[in-house]
This record gives sequence, structure tokens and C-alpha cells, in this order.
Amino acid sequence: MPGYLALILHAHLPFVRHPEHERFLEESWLYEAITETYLPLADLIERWREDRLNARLTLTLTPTLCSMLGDPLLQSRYERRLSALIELAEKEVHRTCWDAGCRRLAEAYVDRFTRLRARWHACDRNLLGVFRALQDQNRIEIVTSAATHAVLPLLRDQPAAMRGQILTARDHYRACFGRDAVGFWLPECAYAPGVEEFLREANLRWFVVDTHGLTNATPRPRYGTYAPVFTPEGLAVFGRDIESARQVWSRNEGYPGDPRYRDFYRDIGFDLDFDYVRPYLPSPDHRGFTGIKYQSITGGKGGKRCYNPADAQRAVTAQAAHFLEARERQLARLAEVMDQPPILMAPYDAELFGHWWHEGLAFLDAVVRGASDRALDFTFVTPTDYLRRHATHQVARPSPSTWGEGGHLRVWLNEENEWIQPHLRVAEQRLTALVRRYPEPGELVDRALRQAARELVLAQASDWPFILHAGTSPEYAQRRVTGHLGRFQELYDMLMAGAVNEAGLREMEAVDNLFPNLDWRHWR
Amino acid sequence: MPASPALALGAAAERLPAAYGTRRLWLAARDPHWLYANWDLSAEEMEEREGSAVSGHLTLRIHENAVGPAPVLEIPLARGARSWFVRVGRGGVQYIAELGCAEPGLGWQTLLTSNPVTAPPDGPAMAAETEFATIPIDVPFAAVVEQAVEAARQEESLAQALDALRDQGFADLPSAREVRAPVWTEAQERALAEVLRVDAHRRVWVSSLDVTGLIAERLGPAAEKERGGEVEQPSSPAGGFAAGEAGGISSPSGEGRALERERGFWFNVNAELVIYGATEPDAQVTIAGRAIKLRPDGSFSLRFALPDGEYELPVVARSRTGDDGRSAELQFRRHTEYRGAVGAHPQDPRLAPPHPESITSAGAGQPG
Repeated sequence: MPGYLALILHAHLPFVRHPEHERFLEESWLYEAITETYLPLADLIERWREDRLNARLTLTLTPTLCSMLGDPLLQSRYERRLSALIELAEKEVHRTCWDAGCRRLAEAYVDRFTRLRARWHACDRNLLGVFRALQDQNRIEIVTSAATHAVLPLLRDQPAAMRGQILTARDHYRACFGRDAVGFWLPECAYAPGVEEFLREANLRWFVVDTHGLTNATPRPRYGTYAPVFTPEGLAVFGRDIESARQVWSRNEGYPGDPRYRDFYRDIGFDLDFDYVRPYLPSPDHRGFTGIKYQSITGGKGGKRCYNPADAQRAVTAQAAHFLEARERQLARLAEVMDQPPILMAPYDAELFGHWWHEGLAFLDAVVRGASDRALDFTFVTPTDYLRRHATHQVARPSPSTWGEGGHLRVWLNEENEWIQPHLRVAEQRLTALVRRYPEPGELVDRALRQAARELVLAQASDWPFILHAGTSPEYAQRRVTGHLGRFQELYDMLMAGAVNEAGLREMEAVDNLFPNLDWRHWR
Repeated sequence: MPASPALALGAAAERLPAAYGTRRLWLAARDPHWLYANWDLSAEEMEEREGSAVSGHLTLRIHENAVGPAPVLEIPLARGARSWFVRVGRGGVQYIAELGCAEPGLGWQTLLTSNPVTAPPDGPAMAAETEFATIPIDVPFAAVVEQAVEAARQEESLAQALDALRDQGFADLPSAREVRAPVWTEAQERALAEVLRVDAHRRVWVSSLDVTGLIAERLGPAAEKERGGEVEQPSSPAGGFAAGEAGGISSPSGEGRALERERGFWFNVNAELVIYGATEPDAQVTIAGRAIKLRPDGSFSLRFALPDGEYELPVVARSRTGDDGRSAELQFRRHTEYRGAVGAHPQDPRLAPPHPESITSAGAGQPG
């Protein structure tokens, strides 16, 4: 009995765009992810296509990420950043003249970054278009997520707010990809009953929950996470397969910790003379990542060893073989006890592959090629593919769950970040009140309502409470939340007073410019 | 009396009003054993109510299933508190919160009542009869939904709605009644239950947090100590987290707080050479046989890491036409004698060494 493996890469970054600053630290999140994950991933999928490999892959591109990838300012800033990186790598080739190991790596960085720049130019800076074409060629399935990655269970008793997040995502997907999304990525895999109503309205057919979201469903799903269920509303729900998740993710057992792999943290931005690296840092006054790293994880005591790509590739090959063997064993064991082909749902943060885990994309490549070489008895599918082949499933209600630590909402609702909630809730109620107040607005009020909705959704992003909880750059997260809520408040006051300040509005539109066609009527 | 989390607001919240006076009590189930309650009373009303309460403070009552005379929990609130994390005993139960106080001669006075919430269950549901449905993904869902919404609003499942629609003339729609649950033997059920049980026991929370933890782990014992241990449940009445809770990151880099490192005096030394010079802007210059780029004015400046050893560095310039040239043969020797532990990196502890704790996070999961 054949089985299926569904690889889902969830690509998401919060909307960070600061035209008011020449160089802005947090914008580098996007630039690093393009260089290390998104561009190389697109290349990888294109190579699979050229080599005629069966490698159906599901990719979430969140609306905020799509907005940034399509933004001309960020595109040109990325290009500047990449060119600076090439310049630094060229300097490094000279600097490492008497260190053969580092020098070979520096040369490889020059080569790699130069090829990426050529690729970037070849697609005319339009990475979104590259992924769209790959979907049109039936190589990948792109799914969407909530407009700004809001944790939807926290909007459970604010139906207009939940509806706004979901329908805005639907609209934006259409604008980006010229078709309707079939699948939906619940931000943070956060599920609670109630999301189905609006997913159904948006014509979205499936979503993924963490393992316990399905194993604790009611009634208990007969096949655990190895088959989807239908909610009573008719949406298919897949559960994360914990075994394949653990092998890649786990702190204790995960692949990315192999000592032969490149060390993420040892970057010349931290190690070399400040004056030398300063022009290439994400923020001129703070040490940070440049993307050039020479050490392997190494492990044990003593100094770090120089990174050896050939050694790392050996680790990749061995781990990919291990991953495939484990899936084969798992599916064979399931075949003995199931009466339908099992599906293993393996979702990961896309940025894990290439950014956090430098060799992650090589690992994916080795998995796909290994599966092809070994003629394995399972097929790579997207959830939509699977539902086309298998349309009969148990009806059950998933259990509230997330994939954050603890499996519930603790990451996004705790002492560090609970202060956001009352402000969000009032803003959500006020937006609905405004929408009802202006059923047929003029052009200026229409713009103000649209901007108010933009500010609200930006404040709702799951990223801000996450950062506040992790405590890594809480000032920035606080500024973002209070900034968006403050601008919302200004717009609310203007609209309630019936006097929109056009200049002020224009300023806000220039800064928080995502979702140009946002339809505020979704919040009615 | 436990401190309220609301009193520990960051500076950011100062720009936002402390309250809006909407008189709403919001209850959320954070996990199977913790609820979160938040209430929005104006400062004046709060002060007035606290002043009139027998005990001098407001009280939060938690009821199971419905509001009644005997709450399962009664929590005395800190004065000025606007939110509370509440530990409850059982998952899978519906809770309702009430905010109020006992007033002299009047007894319990309810100020606000929350929405009901159901805490997530602690574990798998009891086995129950299974119902199967066929929902072909390519059947235009929107058209079906339009018809089915009304039925679903009446608490019918989609499967039932589909049946009803089919009876109304939508003959192409699949019928749930026609879909027979797959034949299923007791032996199969036991065997699969065994597989699922093993999975439940081996459950781990794996997310981008863990990946960063995993990578950080390789940095050595200090990193391990700072990273903290496994996840623990909050233990204080106000929902305080255990100090060892895993911090982490799920996304790219950025400015971060400097790591407070527990080490004594230390010293790092490195040596680099700077080779600089100038020639005609259109000349070709090589250093150690490798062509370099000149600045528009013909000048150049390059650094070379200089480990211990002896080195030769030929620097050659050729004119654009190739008919003229100059060269310099540079020779260097570095020999270092260390006394005590002297390292190489990083250069300055204030410069936030590359440690996971010093890296900004975002989303993604995520993260995402």
C-alpha cells in the first residue's frame, strides 16, 4: 500500500519597512531570508523541474511576506545589500590569503552571492513571479495565511476581526498569484473552533494543526495524524506528523545540530575588526550578521573548526538517507494497521532551510533525489493533491492547539505581552463601528478606512507578542504595536469627527503601504 | 496578595490609554489549565467600586458551565488590576468569569460577566462512533456552501447539509449516507491504537524555538546554562513563568541585548595587515597573484589576516597598455608568545558576541 509525504514550507516574515531610515536593522530579516532561503529555494525547485523529479512541495507565502517581496523600495534595498555583500566577500578573499580553509570559503561566498545577484536580475527582482510561475507549472502549491499572521484563536469572539484577517489574505493571494488559494496556513498552527466559518467563506479547503490538535479531536480520529479529518463545516484538517518533525526540528535529535554543519552564530560581523565590517552590518552602529561565516558547529570543548563543505555534504547525504529510511519504516508499519494509504504531514518554517540551517536546502535536495533514486513506495504530494485522490474522511472537530511551546497560546498570551490584548480588542470593535458608520463613503473616508484597517492588522501580527515573550528586541515590538495602534486611534478620531486630515493620512499610507486594495468592508 | 501582571506594563503601554471604559470582561483559555481574564473599566469606576467593596478590592469569580451561586474559584484582585491569569483544574470544561465585589449590606454584586470559554482538553477524546463523509475538493465549494450555510446555522453538520441538498435536487452532490465507513476490525483498531499511543508518549514541542536551541546547544556549557531547561508550566497565581523557561528565536538576526557573560578577566588579540597604495586608475593591480579592484581615483586598500608564520606578498601594477609595470615584494613574519589564556574572538564583550540570546527574533515560526 503506497503512502504519501507532504512537505510544507511555511515562509513568513512580519511586515518591516522603514523608508524613514536609510538602513534599518530589522529590514535585514527579509534580506537575509532572500539570500539564504527564498532565492536558493526557487533555484532548487527549478533544478528539480529540469531534472524531471517528482517533488511536489507546498509553500506558504504569507501576505506580509508577499507584500515585502513585491515592494520596490525593499527590492532596491535588497539589491544594494547583496552588492555590498559581494564586495565584502571579495575583500575576504584577500584578507584570508594565508588561511587556505577560510580562503576557499570566501571564494565560494563570492561565487554564491554573485550567482544569486545574477538570478535576482534575471527574474527582474520579482521573486514572487518566480514562485507564481512554479505554481503555474504545477511544481509547487502555494497557500496563504492570515493577512498579518494574527493568532486567530485570540480573535475568536471578534468575528469581524477574524473575517478581516482571512478575507484580506484571500484577496491578496488572488492579486499575487492570479488564482484562488486552496489551502490555508493557520498562523502558528493556532486553531480553535470558529475559524472554519470564515475559511469556508473564503473558499479555503484545508489547513494543518499540530499533532495534538488532531489526536485530541472529537470524536477521536481513527487514523490519528495519518489521515485528515473533515470538520463539520467540510474543511479538511491535517495533523503534523511528529516523527518527521522531530528528526528535523528537535533540540536533542534534530539534524541541524550536526557538528560538521556551518555554525550559524559565528559570523565575521561579530568576529572581525569593527571598522572593517561596519559598512556591511545591517545597522551601522551595531554588530550583527553579515552572512559570511567560516566555522563549523564543531561541538565539544576547544576552538571551532574551519567549516568544510565536503564534510557537511557527507552529513547531508547520510541524514537524507536516514530520513527516507525512517519514513519508509514508518509507512510500512502504518500499512500493516491502516486500510487506506497513510499521509505524513511534515511542515517546517521555510527559513529553517538555508537561513538557520545552512545545509537545509541541500538536505531537501538529497531527500528528493534519494527518494527518486531508491524508487520508494511513497509519493510527495500537496494536501490538495491528496484530497483529490482521497475524498472520504472521518468527520471530527479538532482540538484547540498551536505549535508553540506548550502546544497552546502561552507564547502569545503571557505577562510580557498580555497588555496588547485590550487595546487590540477595542480597536477591532472600533473598526467595525466605523465600517458600519460609513456604508457609502467618499474617496477620502474610503482611504482613511482602508488605512485604519491596515494599521489594525499590522498591530495584530503574532510576531510582536512573540518577540516580547522571547525578550530579544522587545523595544522594537513595543514600538510597532503602539505605533500602529496610535495611528489607528488618530484615524478613528478623524473619522468620528468627520474630518480626515489628508496630509496625515498620506504620510501613513506611504509608510504602512501593504495591501493596496484592502477591502475594509470585510470588517462589517 | 499576588501582583497583577497588568501593573508590570512596559513603557510602550504608557502611550496608550490605561482603559477605554467599554465595560467588557474578556475571558480566554490559554491552555487546558490556564485562563486569562481582562476587564475594561474606567479608572473612575474601578476606584469607586474598589472603594465600596467590603474587602477594598474587586474579586474575580470563575464558574464552570454557567454562572451560579457557587463559583469554582474566587480570586481577590490587586487594587488597580485589569487582568489576571487563572489556574483551573480541568481541561475540556467550559468556564465563565464574573467580576464583582461584596458590598456592605448588599452581598455579592456582579459588575461584569464574561463570554464563556472552553479550555482545551487534557488528552484524547473517548472513542466514539465515527462518521465519514465524502467531500470532493473540486466540487465548487462556494456554490455548495451558499446553500448549506443555512442548514449549518441550524447546527447541522455539512454532511447532513449535503444530504439535505441532495434531497432538494442537487443530485451530483455526494451523499454522506452513501459513504460507508471503511470496514474496521478490532485487531486493526488495537494495532493502530498502539501506534498512536507511542506517538502521544513521545510527543515533544518542536518549533523554530527548538531549532535555535539545538544550534545554540553546540556553543558549549555556558550557552546551555543560559538557554534554560525544558518548558514548565507557570506556577504562580498570576501566571508567572519558571525562570528556566526556554527563551528563543525563530527568525533572522538583528540587534539584541548584550549577553552578560559570567567570566573573569580575558584578552583577545588579532593581527591584520593593511596594504594600501595607488596607481593610474586604469592600471591592473594584483596582490599575491590576484587582481584587485581599484577605487575610481586609482587607490586601493586591502586587509590581510596575519596568523603566526612567514609570508611573502608580491604586489604588481601594470599599465593599461601593458607596456609598463612596477612591483613590490613584501615579506612579513609574525611570531606571538602568549602568557595566560589569550583568544581571538570576539573583540569586545559590549559588541554583543554571536550568541543566540543576543539575536533578535521575529515570527517564524514559525516561525512560524
